[in-house]
Amino acid sequence: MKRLLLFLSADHLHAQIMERGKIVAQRGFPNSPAEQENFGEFLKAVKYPTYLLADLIEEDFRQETVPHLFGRSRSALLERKFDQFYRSTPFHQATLLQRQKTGRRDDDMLFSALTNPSLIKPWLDILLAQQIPLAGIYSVPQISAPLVKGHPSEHLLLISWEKFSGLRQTYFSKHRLQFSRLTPIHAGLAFQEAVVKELARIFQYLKSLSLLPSGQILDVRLLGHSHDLIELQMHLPRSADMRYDFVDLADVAKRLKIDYRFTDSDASQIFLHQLAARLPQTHYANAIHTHYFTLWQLKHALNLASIALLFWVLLWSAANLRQSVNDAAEAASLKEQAQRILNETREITSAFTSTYASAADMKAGVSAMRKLKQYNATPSDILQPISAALDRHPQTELDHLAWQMSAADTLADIPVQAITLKGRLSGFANDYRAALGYLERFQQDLSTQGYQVTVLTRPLDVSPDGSLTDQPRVGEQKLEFSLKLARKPPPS
Amino acid sequence: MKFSRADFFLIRWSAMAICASSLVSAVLLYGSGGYAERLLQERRNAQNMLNDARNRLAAANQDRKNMDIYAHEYGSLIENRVIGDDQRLDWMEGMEKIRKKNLVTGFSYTIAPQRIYTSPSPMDSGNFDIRYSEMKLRIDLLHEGQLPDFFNALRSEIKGWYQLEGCILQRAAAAVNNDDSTANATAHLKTECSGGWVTLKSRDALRMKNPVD
Repeated sequence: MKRLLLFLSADHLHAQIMERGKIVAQRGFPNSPAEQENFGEFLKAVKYPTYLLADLIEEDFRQETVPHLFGRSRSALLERKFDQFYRSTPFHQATLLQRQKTGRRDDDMLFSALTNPSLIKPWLDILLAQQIPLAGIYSVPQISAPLVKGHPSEHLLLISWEKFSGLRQTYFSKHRLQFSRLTPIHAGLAFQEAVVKELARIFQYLKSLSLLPSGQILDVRLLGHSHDLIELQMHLPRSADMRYDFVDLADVAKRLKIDYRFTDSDASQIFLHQLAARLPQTHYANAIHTHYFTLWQLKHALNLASIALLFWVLLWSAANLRQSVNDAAEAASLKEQAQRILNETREITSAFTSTYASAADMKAGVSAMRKLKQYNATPSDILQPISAALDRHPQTELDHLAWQMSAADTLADIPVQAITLKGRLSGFANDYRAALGYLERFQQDLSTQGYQVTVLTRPLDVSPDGSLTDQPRVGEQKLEFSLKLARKPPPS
Repeated sequence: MKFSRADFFLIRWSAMAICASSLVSAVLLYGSGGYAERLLQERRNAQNMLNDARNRLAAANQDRKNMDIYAHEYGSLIENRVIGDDQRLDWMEGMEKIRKKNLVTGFSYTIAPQRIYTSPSPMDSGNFDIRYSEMKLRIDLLHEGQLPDFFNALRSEIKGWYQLEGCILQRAAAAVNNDDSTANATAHLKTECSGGWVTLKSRDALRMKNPVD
């Protein structure tokens, strides 16, 4: 994605278009009405997010301790502080340095502002007029922290030179920005001379403000081209209060993965590339300044949402389509199987056409008749075993024989045949004991044939419940008896 | 932050894009969803069709097995006129044939109106109604050995199934009194047998006969 990066100094605006970390176009605009008009023309082709990096003398820093608040109370407090410190400029910000660990645990804040809005406003008005999506207004000290990251010193002065603005001196205490100062380099003054001259001044300034505690050594990190750094090493005074750390811009670029070839000690590209790579969370622009960036973000969010929605729907539809193709193939396979089975069934059933009825009817009819035949008792089934028993007991004469299927009495679901025998015993004269014994044996014979035998009447009732009457002995008595037999029909 | 109409003008294409993509998405989702649902239903139908075909095949195989087991016996039932309407004329003619054979001293019979058979135990008769025409027999016998012969003749001479429920054999009064002069000429045993002719009537045939019912 393309971005427009602007480097603003007091009398010059440098614009460069970057894409994937490389400069694709760049142009400079000196601070004059004609060049501002040219800048407006230049912007007509630009609809990218824009980042304005200001490197101005008129940037003020104030450290304040404020109560630790949240939400509206905090906003109101900060607004009061801005009104108090920077009433004349809309370009201000507040950065939390740390929260105190003792007492009320207040917040140590760094309030800063670009105090000369007239240097920014003409350019900003052009950007707003062209509806350029301005993401924010940043300053060089604000994005310098990564350049001192990892340095062991707690009191570090970073010195860099920007071609269009001058010598930037930024002081960090415990790696937190405390103060920054810009010194223009006048024509005729060499980079090395300017550094030597300003270094002594800033050291005294830090001492006077007590930003550098007494007895502490000030570590000075100097950014520059290797040639300039060699010369600088020779010019810088040896001091017990300061320790120098010379850093080649090429090494910094390599460490920060900046694709740029440095030909002099101008560190502007380090800061611009740094800004493009890692945006600070706070900046000097307010909501009005970033209005078109908000719109640009909204536009991109809508575009992304459209693409994401379409992509998701296409994926979903593709999944549906894939599932549908599988379903269709499976349906075709299932239908083919079904057809094959139906053909097989048809072949089997075609053999049934000449039969009388359906197989189920056949089974039902035959089963019903088989069961009915089980109920049926033929006369020979009934008579043969009884006749055989009578043959073995010739003194038994039968007068009455009846059998009937008993629906109330079944064995294994088959009705029992209830048989009644009535007869007489002959040849016993009045010897009841012999007659009863004979009848008993006849009963046992029937029992061994598989009958359940119940005696209904005996020739003489000798049971305790019966009554006996003496009868005159005139000839032979009729020794009548009756038996009930139960028999399960044999399975057919 | 407040948006004005002019702001909307700046994002109009993006707004239209999200509307268009929403519309296209809705159409695609509806279309693809409907298509997928239709094919899923088609697959379910095909699965049901396959299950149905498998059931039919299983039923056909079962029918074939049943036919192998029951067809011959079922054919015999048809042959013997057990399946179908009652054949009262056949029964009467058959009884007369038996009478001419003089297997017993004499007999008479009465056939009652046909009714549905009440089984003494639960019986699954499938698609058939079991019909029962009660026939009571009065048979005069010289001896009990004639009774099996009579019923054997009943089985062999008459097409149909006579279900014998029971009999009562009673010595005739003359025989009880040992009156040999009369016993030679008349029966020694009086027999009364109860039973009925069983026929199986297909309910389908009944429905075809009485479509209104």
